Amino acid sequence: MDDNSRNDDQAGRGLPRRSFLKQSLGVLGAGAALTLLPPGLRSAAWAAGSDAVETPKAKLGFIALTDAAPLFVADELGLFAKYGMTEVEVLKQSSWGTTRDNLVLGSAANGIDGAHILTPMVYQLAAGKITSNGQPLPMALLARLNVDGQGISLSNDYKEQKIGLDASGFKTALAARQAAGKKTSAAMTFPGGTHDLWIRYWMAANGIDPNKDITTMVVPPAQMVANMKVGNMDTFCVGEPWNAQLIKQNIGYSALTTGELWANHPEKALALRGDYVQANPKATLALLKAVLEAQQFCDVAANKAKVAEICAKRRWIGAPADDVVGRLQGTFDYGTGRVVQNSPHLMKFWNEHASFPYQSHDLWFITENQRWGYLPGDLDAQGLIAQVNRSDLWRAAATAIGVPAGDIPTGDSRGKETFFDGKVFDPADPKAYLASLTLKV
Amino acid sequence: MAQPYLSIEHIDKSFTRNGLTSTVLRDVNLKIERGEYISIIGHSGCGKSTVLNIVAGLIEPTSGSILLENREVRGPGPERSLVFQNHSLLPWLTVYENVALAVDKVFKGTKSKAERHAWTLHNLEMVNMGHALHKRPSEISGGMKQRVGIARALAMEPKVLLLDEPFGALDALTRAHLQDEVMRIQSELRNTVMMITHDVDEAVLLSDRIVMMTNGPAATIGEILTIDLPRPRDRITLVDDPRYNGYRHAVLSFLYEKHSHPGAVA
Amino acid sequence: MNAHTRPPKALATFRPQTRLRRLGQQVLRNGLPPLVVGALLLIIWQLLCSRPGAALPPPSQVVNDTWELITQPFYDNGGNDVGMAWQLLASLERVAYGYLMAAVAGIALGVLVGQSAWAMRGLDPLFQVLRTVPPLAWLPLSLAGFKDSHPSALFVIFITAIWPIIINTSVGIRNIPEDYRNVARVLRLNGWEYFQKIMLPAAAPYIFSGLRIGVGLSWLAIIAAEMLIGGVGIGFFIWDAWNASRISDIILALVYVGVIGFLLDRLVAFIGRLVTRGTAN
Repeated sequence: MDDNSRNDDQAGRGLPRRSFLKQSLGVLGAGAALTLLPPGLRSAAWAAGSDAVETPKAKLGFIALTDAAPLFVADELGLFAKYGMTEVEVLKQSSWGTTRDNLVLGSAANGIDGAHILTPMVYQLAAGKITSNGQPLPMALLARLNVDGQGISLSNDYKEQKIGLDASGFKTALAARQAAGKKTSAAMTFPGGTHDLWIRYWMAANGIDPNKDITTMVVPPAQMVANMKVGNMDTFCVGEPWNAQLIKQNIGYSALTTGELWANHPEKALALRGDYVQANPKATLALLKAVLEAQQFCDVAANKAKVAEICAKRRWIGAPADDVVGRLQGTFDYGTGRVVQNSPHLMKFWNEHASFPYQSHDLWFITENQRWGYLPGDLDAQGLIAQVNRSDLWRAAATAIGVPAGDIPTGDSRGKETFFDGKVFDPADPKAYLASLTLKV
Repeated sequence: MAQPYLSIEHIDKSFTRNGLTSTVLRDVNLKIERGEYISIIGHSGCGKSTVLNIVAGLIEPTSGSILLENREVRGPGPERSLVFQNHSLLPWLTVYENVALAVDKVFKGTKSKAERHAWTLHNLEMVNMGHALHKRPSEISGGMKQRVGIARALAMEPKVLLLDEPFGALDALTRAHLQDEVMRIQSELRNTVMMITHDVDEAVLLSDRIVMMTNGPAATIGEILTIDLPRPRDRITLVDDPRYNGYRHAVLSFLYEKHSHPGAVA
Repeated sequence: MNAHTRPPKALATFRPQTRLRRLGQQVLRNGLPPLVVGALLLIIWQLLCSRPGAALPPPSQVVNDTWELITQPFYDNGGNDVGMAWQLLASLERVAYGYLMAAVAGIALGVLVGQSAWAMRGLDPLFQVLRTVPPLAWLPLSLAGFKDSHPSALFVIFITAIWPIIINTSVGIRNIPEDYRNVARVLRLNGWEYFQKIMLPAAAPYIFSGLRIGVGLSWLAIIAAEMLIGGVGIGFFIWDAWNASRISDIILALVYVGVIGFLLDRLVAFIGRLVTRGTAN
């Protein structure tokens, strides 16, 4: 895996090629036009020269967070239908646990075929560690949905200490609370998921043992805010709009946005059940194309307001657009009086290769899961990544929608990664990284 | 005496619970003619209801048998129909339906639907309940409920009519009315009747013979008194009748002198 | 003849009561007090929560925020975003299936346990243990067992509603007065006739008691289950509104949930009165 140079060009990735057919479809409204055509003609109509999809159906799950925006946009703008997937249902899931259960069920048993999912969860499923019967579930990770954009928040009890990346103030405050006999807790969204890993990394790097010095537990996002309000929660890590809402309701403040921990860190993924991909390769490609195009749309500065508006719909997130639009555009109000405009750590969906599923990133997630005991130490990480990660499909889809070859990474590794505390992760030697960490299980 | 219509032969009854056996009845023998009105009287706990239940077939005797028309009968049946102390009407059925339940079951093969309907009405008329056919038991008085119970028992055209303290739950006036009703019906139908009571006046007024039981445990028939009063019997005139009073005296003497209840009053 | 069919009417009000007038009086007598109390509570709520910084929104704001939901119960914007009527109907549909299955199975098992001392000794301890398991705890098990989310949701309703039905039915069966049984024996009713003419009608008031409790529990269970499994339904609507901090939506949903729960209870009670011909409560 060799290094890939990053493209500085953040703006200007407009909608891809304007084929004549697509232009006229655009006029009518792609989805509407396609439904007017008889089914046989429909799939043939969408792109001259390509084969028809095996099935126009797919059920994709999402959790109501802003990083699922590409799925919302793909549905709202008719992008799925544009590529021949006319019966895609994008379904809100009630929790990550439900996403997991529905993926295990599959759409044939009234579950789902794929989802907006925490990247590590894909590997936990593929390794059979979180399925109810212990059996591995073959998965295919098709794209990264976003990088950056999660937040670690603290309750206003800690406002004085003005905690940020440096949590030494938090550490002393925690020790004091524990000495006074009070329980302390940190909340995240799913064991071994991205938010769990961020908050653990942050605390561990600051000398706080997430298993011994504080109780780290799974709490649904709405409950995180409610608990913090009544003083039962000290800190949490979650996606947006929760961190913004916490500040708006004057319950807590943002310690950091996760891009500060690790710049341009991978976050959620688009993953499908392995059997769906195997049975429907063309449909998979079509889904991927639609999502990639949606990701491009989301990162155009002029579209951000529209994306926020879409997110505000009851069907998608249902939170007020105002809570969403600020951080989407890169304006971070930390709730302590500090406001950063044009932050480099805003959530990205396409720019800086945000969408490409680097295998080195998958390796980091697996390694961190091993660090905290969610995955076994003797797991064949490389073998699993080779099975699950489908960067080949990503490249095929990106080429098909006209992404210039210069913008498609040639290798599968983004090379060495450096964290806020100076630690370096070299994907060529994950064991050394693991050994270098002091706090682990 | 010719073959008795109903014969109770050497009936013993014991109950065993937790290894302890208690004998309720010992060697009860009784022969009843067709059309006779028999009362069984005794202190409470003397097993008179047990005798009736054995005749009805609801309880199995430990030994002995019941013969009806010279054939042994076991188990309950509509030919020995029962009027319960607590009317036992089904509360979700109307007066008509309560009787019709019995009629439809007993005469399913033998009478047509119209005939059964007419028969049901006839029996209810006989107890003067024709005006309340569509009322529920909760809407009628205790005396009326008992009438319906009698109508139901009669509607089965029983060979023997069994009455288990039928008027015990009613007030004195209603009781008197119903006793007159029963006498009237009896004079028409000439049923064979066996009644349990602890009301001496009732026993003397209604019966042809009174069977007096000794006290339990192991109770048996003590004395049988034949009531030789002409019918129809009118209670008002009988009050001053020396024979009536003599019979009353005999029964009372049996109950309170010869076989007064051990342990006196409860 | 000393028997009266009805206690004599009070002589004070001797006006010919037309049915309509009687109905009107009944509506007034039963309907007015709760309306008055309800209005008073709303006013108190409005006053308490109108101050700035109040924890809950006042009724006026609730109505304002949810106006679209109230006035357009049948809209359909795709996905889970559909009108309140559709959400409620989806939940009710699940309740209908699950509850009916529970009713059939519950009555059957209740009759078995009530009739047979052996079955009682064998099954009752099992029932007593299982019925304390909270309905939501069944959900992961049923998902793993059925491997399909639709029957799993129905199972949660089934396993919640069935216990009061079994227990009340068996009590009803065991409490059939001995006299009724004797009537059946004298008439020589066969097993089926006894079951149909005496056992069921005698136990019916108890059975409907159990059914009423069961329908309430079913409604509770589906709301809770839908919070976990998602899809279209009032439970998931509440969960989703909670996630998006739309408190007014939650309050509106709770009002609907309460009203529907009340109506379900009344419906079962009404059917009970019809079937048992007035012998049920």
